[in-house]
Amino acid sequence: MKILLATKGQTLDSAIDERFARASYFLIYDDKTGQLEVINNNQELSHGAGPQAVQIAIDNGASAIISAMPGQNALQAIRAANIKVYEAVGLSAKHAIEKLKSNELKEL
Amino acid sequence: MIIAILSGKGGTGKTTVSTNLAYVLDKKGHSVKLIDLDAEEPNAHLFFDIDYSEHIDVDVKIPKVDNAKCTHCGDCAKACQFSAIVVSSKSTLVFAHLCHACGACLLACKYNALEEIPKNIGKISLGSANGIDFVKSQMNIGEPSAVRIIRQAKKYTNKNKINILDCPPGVSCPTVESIQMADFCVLVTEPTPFGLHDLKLAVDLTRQFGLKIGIVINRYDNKLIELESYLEENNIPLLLKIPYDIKIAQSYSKGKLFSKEIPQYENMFVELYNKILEIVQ
Repeated sequence: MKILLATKGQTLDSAIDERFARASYFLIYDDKTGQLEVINNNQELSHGAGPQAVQIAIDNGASAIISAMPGQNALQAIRAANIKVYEAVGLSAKHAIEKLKSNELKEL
Repeated sequence: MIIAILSGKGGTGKTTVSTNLAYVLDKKGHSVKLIDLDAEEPNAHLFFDIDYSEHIDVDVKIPKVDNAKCTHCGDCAKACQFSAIVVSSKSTLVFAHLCHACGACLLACKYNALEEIPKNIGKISLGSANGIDFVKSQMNIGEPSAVRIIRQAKKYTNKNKINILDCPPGVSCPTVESIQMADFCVLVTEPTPFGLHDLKLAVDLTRQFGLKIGIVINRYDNKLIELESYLEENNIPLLLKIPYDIKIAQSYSKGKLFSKEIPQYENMFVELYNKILEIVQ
């Protein structure tokens, strides 16, 4: 399964950003292979950041998102794409993945 | 003739100059048309007793997905510059309030799976302001862009009249749309560092379009020397200084035209128009 993590930095040690669509980076983590891809998020959009972020998740084959509470537009797109979304503000990406595996993250 | 009144910074006096100029020129026997293009927050009408004759809806066309034909290939989402379409393997979702109605998604779709449906984004009102032809543009709350409404409202300019366009603040798309067909741009500024900063942006904008410009300094108090030296260094004509006078502020606060309330200020707008004429010709 691929997971999109909306983070402040480029490694699994970085914290989950307080904002989903305007997070600094998106980490695409494959929990089968342990492979990590880093996407530099374009934060210059004045509108449409939510839908754009969800499109990035879809295009990268993510079936789960770990982030802050997404906005209304993003949530609508997440639901339509049938992606699961979990809240983990305050955790590192690594810690959030561990918690997801042990079913300790809250699904939004 | 088309005279666009703009400013860069908001609240410098675009509407004050537009409405007073329209009033004075009409009084002096010119045939005047006042067009409020600040569709996000029109307010020129507050200074007149408007008799409206017509309201015209402004609609744009936004995409609607035909799910029977859609293959979820994602070409429409890639074509959209505003992230208004999200495509997954199971769904194609259009965010109507993010759509700028450019039609790129329809061109991109190979399966004829998109059709266009009308969406109302605002209206244009036509009327008479004590004898002055008046046009008001107004955008619905929550719409992303006033450009299409401004484009429609501009069509009501009249070649045989002096058209005064009360433009939106800022230097982005709505202002660009407003000034493109102008014969002359009046840039209204205030003698503050903020006013000067945004004036420079507005000057850059008008120069990119090769438009003729002149400056009106509102609330002039002789204190910001940098403003006048900037104008001199860049050869920008200073057309008018409206003094910092509490009587003007009082008149404005009551929704009155100060050139009408305080007769000594009437002639400055005749002079403003004469200077514009001189430069245009």
